[in-house]
Amino acid sequence: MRLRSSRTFWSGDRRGRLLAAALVTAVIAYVGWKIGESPSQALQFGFNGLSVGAIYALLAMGFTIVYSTVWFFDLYYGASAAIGAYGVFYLRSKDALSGLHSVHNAYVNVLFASVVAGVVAWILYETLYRRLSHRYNREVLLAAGGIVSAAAGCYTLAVLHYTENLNVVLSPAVGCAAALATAWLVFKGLERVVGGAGRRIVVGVAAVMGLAVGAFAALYVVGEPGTRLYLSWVLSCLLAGVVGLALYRGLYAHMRERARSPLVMLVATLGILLAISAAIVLVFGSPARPLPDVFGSQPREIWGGTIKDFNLFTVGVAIVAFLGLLFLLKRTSLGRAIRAIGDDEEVSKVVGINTTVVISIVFFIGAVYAALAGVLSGHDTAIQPRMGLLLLLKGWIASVVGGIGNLYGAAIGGLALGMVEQFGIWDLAGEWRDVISFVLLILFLSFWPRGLLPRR
Amino acid sequence: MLRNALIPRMLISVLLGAVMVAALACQEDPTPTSPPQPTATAAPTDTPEPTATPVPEPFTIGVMESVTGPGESYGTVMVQAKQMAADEINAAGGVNGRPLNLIIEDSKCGAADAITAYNKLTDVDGVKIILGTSCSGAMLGAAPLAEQDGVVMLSASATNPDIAEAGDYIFRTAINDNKLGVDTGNTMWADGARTIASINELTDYAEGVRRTTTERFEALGGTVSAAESYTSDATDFRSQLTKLTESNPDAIHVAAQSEFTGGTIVKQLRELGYDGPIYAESVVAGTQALEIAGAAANGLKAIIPSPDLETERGKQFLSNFRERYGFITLPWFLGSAYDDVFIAAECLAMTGDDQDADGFRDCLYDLTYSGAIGDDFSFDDKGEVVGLANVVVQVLPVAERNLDNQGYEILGAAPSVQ
Repeated sequence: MRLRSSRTFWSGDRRGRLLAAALVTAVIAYVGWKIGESPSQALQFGFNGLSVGAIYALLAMGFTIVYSTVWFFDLYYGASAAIGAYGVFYLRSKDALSGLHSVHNAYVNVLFASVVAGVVAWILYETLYRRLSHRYNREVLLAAGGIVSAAAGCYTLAVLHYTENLNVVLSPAVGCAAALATAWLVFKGLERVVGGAGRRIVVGVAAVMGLAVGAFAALYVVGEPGTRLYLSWVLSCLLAGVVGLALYRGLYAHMRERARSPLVMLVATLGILLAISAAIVLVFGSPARPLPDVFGSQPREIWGGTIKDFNLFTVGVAIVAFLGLLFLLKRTSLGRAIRAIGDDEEVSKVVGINTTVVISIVFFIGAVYAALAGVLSGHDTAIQPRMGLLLLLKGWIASVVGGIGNLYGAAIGGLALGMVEQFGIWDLAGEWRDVISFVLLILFLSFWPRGLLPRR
Repeated sequence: MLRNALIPRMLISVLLGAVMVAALACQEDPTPTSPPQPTATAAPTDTPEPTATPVPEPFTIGVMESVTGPGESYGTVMVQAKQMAADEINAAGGVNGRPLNLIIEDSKCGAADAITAYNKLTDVDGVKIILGTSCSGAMLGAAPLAEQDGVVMLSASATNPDIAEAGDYIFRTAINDNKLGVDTGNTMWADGARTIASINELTDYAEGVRRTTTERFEALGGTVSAAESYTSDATDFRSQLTKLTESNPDAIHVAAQSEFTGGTIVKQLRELGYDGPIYAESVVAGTQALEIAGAAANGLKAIIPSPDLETERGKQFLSNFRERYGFITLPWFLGSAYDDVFIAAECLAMTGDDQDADGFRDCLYDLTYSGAIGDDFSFDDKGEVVGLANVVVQVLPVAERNLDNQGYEILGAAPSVQ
């Protein structure tokens, strides 16, 4: 399903170029006419488009990095968005609608705890086992690994069980994460300044500062019940990511070795998407539900248009996510490995890249981005079981429009899709919004399958 | 390779850990909490224990409500209200000494699912009397079949005008939306609105409310500056609402089928900076809708069936219901559902046969009933309820909303405008 056509929006054969020029002219003329007709409505549509466009862009970024690495449609991606959003509802359902639809399900807890335990076991195996197996007894190592992963599973179970006091239960994890991150940053920073000479002092300083920051973070989280909501965002994104990773390592990796056609993978992931959607209906019921309110719903007025604080936050998150992914892809060795695998997986394997690990990380990142988009979309409007499929399609359209495999394209495509959806229904009824986005998709697939910006 | 031999063992240890974890979880949490859900079939709780005396054959009637779907919030509590009525009847000795048995099916607020539920009730359970449905769309789907088969349907809350013409066997204790449309149009006109914009859910009920309201408003000389609609699974209404607010209406009219969309629309309207008046129907004034809308609903006016349940019986019912189930929404419709079971019991006592649909129908035509929703109401020759009225209510600020006032104050009957 690799799109090998050379036609992008800007370059290509004569017909494609003519059509592109005509389309751009028509769109500019239409939008210009409409802006002249009612500038205030245009501005408001622009703000609405920005709000949803940021979420689409986030989806497209994750989608594009996964697709351009493994070259098959991972439809779990949509389910991940739903898991992220419903995860927040699961963890914080007491805060929405007076806890009327509060959900607690021991099976769900055990399922996620097992997945986490399995993934921790795999991480330990990949990172530590080979290094330590020369020095220590294999049986001892295996037992230790098993105990650590079971402990991770138990901890996950405890966190999912005591959602009432999420901040207290999670505070050790937050403390550890803050301590490790600080220690690592201080270590890297000082090492660059001091050099190899004072290595012991550097390690000592880093450890002390890490401990101090970690303890402060843990205590802060315990004392602030308001952090529960934000912790639930992080937790639910991480869980969705872990499930994505587990699916790749546990299922797709084996299937890809056997399956000769990406269609097999498509069907398999479709099954996963449907199964997860059905499970969501079973656990949460089918109607749409709101998530707890964040930042209030007082509108902010800018030049006569209004936008919610939360939408501005969404745009900020999308920008940070974009810069983060850009940094990862362009400046780190992992990013180089990801791009190499996207170019040719077999050769990457030959030159010594552990493709399974790298692709698993890509799936993790992709699933986290999707879950983040799901959480933001859920807070912006509401959650419903079909949201996974809808967001998946929107993310896919945005990445096709932007050009699959191009991060800038994903951002631009998401924003463009958000705007087209809004301005497209200026003279049509609101129900036509989805139709318009699919018409856009068909146009691009037929005439410019490589999108606005080609993969580089 | 070494690795291949290790992975299974690693997996086994992880699995063992998971099993331990699972065992722990089961000990910790033997009863997962879940929201109150009505059971699929509800046997009378007071059926006498099988003893030497023979158990009297129960009267069996069907119930169809939107337990899931857009009408979930009120469909669920209406089932509970009906069950409570049946339990009270059975506790008091049943109907002619025979217990009343309700068989509950989910009509999911849509025509197709209503027909499935109807077929199940009539073919499998063999009932001839059905109390339902919650939603107009479901009613319009199942009513033609009921009319053809000679099965009585008595709805507590389906209000679409077309149901009046559905047939001889179709009754309702809900007020026809023609009345609601006139009352809403009059209220908006009397409040000084001359241009309105409207948004409605694409269901028979909400569409009917919009149609009747708009017709009345235009008949009074008003204009509709913009009209938008949305499907039941929508969650983002901002683009439609932007078009409404940009048409600069004096007021916006909202007709929703689900409390979720109604509340969300009100919230998103205010988020878009609209500060003019909002008018709505019953669903948008539901407990859950007001909770979703929060402060955005302050001052919203809704035209709903007389909600105070002033009758002694109505007050008693509501306090009993709250005690038993905790959650109340759309109290008038709860009362209506509750009354329907007593009406059915009264007619069953008269006919003495739950298979006698014709006798039941004739009984309804002749009946004058006083219950939770009002005194001395009856059915006209179209099966429409006579003797009940709508009132205008205004939503209170968040701090003043409570269980007793249901979040709004009653302004009185809708004004009459010539």
